[in-house]
Amino acid sequence: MTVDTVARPPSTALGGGTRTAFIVALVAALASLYPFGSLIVTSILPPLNGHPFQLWQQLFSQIPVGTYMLNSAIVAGGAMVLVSVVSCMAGYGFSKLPFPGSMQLFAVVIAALSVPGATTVIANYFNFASVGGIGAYWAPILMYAAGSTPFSVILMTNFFKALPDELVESAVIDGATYRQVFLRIMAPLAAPAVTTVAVLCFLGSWNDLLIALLWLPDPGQRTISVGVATLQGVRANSIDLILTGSLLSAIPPILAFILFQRYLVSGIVSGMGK
Amino acid sequence: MALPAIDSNGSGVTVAVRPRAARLRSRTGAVRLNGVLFTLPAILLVGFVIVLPLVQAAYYSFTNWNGATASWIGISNYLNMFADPELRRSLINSLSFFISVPFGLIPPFITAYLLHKDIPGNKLFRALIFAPTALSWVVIGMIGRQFFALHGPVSGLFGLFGGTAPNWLADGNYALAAVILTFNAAIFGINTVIFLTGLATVDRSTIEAAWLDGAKEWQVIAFIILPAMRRFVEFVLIITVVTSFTGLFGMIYVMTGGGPGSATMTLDFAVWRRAFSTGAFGAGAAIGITLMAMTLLGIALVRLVMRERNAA
Repeated sequence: MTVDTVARPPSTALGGGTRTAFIVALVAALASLYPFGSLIVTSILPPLNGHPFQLWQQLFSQIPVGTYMLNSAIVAGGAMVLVSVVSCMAGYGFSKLPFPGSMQLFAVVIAALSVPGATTVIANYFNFASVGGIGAYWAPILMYAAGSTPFSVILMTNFFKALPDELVESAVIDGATYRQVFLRIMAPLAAPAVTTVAVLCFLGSWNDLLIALLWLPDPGQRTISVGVATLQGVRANSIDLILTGSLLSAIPPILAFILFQRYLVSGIVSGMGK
Repeated sequence: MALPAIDSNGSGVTVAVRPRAARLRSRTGAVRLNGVLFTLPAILLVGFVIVLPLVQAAYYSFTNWNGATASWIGISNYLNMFADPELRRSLINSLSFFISVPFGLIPPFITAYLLHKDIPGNKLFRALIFAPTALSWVVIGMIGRQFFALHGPVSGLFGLFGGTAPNWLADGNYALAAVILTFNAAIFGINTVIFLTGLATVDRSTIEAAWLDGAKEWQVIAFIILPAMRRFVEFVLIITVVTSFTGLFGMIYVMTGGGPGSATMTLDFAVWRRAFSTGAFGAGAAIGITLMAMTLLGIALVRLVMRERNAA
């Protein structure tokens, strides 16, 4: 046993047993494919007395999934753009432009990170209702953007803090305004961090159910998540059709994952901070 | 202090110094003004959509607000959390999710540890394991519903061994187990990937030295690797706790609708049901505040345990 451990090849610095490791990893990877495989197979298998792809045909002919996808794109896209701009600006402000009380306000932003959406959803609903926000796209956009703001502002502030202050100062001494420094120097440098913030916000907003369910009650304004979730009430027996809709709803997030995987991991882990 | 030296150089320099000081002063003003302007949109969003509603929710939680009228009823809403069978069940269910958290951590850690060895295809494995994280809780709930359906894969497996499977999601106890299992399966990918990121930060030379000293594999894991990636373990614990308390509405909505009865209702689901299904907004607000308190307690507990482990 002891001989075995000492004789581990240096290539497996964290220990031997490569074959066991390979088998476990293979099983885990195959299990991770299960949800995708099961959705795809369900969606293309012919239903009883039907033909292959019939479910896809039904989905597009019986349910306004195109409208649902568009609604999702509007609210998730809107929130993504808004939070990217707002958090990039705030990150620059909090890191490079101190003003009396800015530390305290930043502390409030950090504290806001630990307020669950379910805690504030009722009061938010009535506040938005009182200004005509229920049934209007801008309201869920604001809700999603605000929900992503604390994390995004912290991430952006940490990013800008790592850049030297001289970058701002020398440009200002050369006659640039702080707004120009932001637009011409800081924002372009922050592109990778903004991408992380944008993708995380998009995924969170696209995949949400609660806010879309409450804020957009008009059937024509349903997002795809709400469409899938409420389908089951209408057609309880056609779970396969709902699963086909689920697969459709998952395509944009899956594409975002494939394209931005490295931003996602670094972004999520950066939430560790401190 | 530098002034005498400048003065001795002649009045021309002194003149040049004054505008510079004035410019510095006006720059402080410009810094402050721009600081306020650049942070203002974020502050307004957080203020109006998080801080203000939190204060309102805290107030409403002491009232019997029904959407139109509210009168002060003290802590009745909070006491009712223990008296009302549905809410008591939600509280217990949320705690059950919380208790399952360690089980949701061990398989990802083992997988990450094994993936970190130089096995062929580990990049591909990592990408595949991370992929289900793209799925929403609604989609995960739908897959869970199909998985545990009466004639679904699990029941099929039972039949294969000649047993008769229960109707998982229609039976209270099994339904809760099925929902908790689905939750733990769904967080497997993200937790594995965070552990992998943590493992990459562990210093290899320390581990190699331990091997040379004849340390066993479990000793290396327990005494070198885990302490070295303590921050990552803490982070995974915290996001798992937060998700288990606050992130499951979509999954439960489509998988069981909180039922049968209230068997799979959690606190975040109960907020929606109480407030928007029955119009008891004051009660809903109290559940929301309780949910937040439990989340913060959960995080504090994680921090405490991790700190003790670190000190030991």
